[in-house]
Amino acid sequence: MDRKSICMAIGIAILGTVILFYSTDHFQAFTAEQARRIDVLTNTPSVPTVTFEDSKSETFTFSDFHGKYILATYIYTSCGDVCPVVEMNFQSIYSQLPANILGEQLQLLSISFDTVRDTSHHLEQHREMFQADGIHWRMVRVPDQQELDLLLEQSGVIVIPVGNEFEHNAAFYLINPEGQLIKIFDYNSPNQVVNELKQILSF
Amino acid sequence: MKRMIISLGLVLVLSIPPIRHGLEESMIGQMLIQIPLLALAGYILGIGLRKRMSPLLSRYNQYGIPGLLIVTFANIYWILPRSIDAALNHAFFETIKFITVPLLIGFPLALSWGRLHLTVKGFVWANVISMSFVMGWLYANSPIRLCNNYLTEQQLQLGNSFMLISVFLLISFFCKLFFVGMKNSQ
Repeated sequence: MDRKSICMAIGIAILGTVILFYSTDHFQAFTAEQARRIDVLTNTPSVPTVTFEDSKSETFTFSDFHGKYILATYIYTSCGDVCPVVEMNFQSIYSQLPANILGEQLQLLSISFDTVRDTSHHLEQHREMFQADGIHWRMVRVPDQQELDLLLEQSGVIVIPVGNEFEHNAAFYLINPEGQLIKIFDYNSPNQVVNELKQILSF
Repeated sequence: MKRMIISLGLVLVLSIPPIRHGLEESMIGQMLIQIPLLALAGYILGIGLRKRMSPLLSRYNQYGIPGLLIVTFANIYWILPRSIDAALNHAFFETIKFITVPLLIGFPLALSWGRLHLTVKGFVWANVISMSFVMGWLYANSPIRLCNNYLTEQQLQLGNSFMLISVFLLISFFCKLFFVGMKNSQ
């Protein structure tokens, strides 16, 4: 083969590999979800100002939990697919947390993106089902659609309505006391979340 | 010149918003219709320019290997679920898709395929058949949603289509080898 062609081939192979290497975060992230998780670790974006309404119709914002870590997840209560699994795992995390950590240093939030159907009545039923205390683990919705959209976009959650249901990506989101999103966990490994919390909060 | 107009026309038609959104609504529409048609546009352009670029190609694309490598890398990039999501969420990546798929997949393929040695062609086909089956199986059986913009249902459909294409190619190859091969040996 001609020298020029060989040089071209080698050059293309190197360039191609380099482009793939960087566009997959060092061959680690092949999906947008994975990319988002890696990005959050270094960029730690601040969460937007959002007003929540919980199952007792009380309203509050992220800044009301200033000084505490927040562990959040996104769900809707009429979901029959992945949300029950997410909430079961959330319950498992909840039950493994010592009483002095919960409330003192950590707040749990299940955030519904189905603002229309998930009224405080439905959220209350949901709270009872998963035996949350409604104080340290609250079931909430975001009444303002614009605020909700901003929050979802910032967390990398894409919600697609399908008939009466929603398809959405599920995960656990850890927010630090300064209001920055610092880590996204797989929804299917609650023990990993607990271990990480043990390290951060030293219990 | 005529081919250039057809090629450009095809890209323009595919970029008309209703057509673009229509095809991108489903995973199959994007992965098995839109992207292949964009590649076809580049291929048509390449066929048109092949003769004129011949001296250049003999020097820099001997046996078609460099061109084939470009096609391979561009293909790998656009088969990643992450790239597909990016194209749907950001206008920048969508533009990149409309430029790179014709120019880095279809175009170099047209300039390289005829130059490839028969063994290399066989190697490429064997890879295309096996990889589309593996990709299809992965898409159909993935426990997670690979693209945030698409439903798992569509992921399953795409996976099955990939496997179907792979089987179809395999059968057509068998037929070609048996019947054409027999004719030649008689």
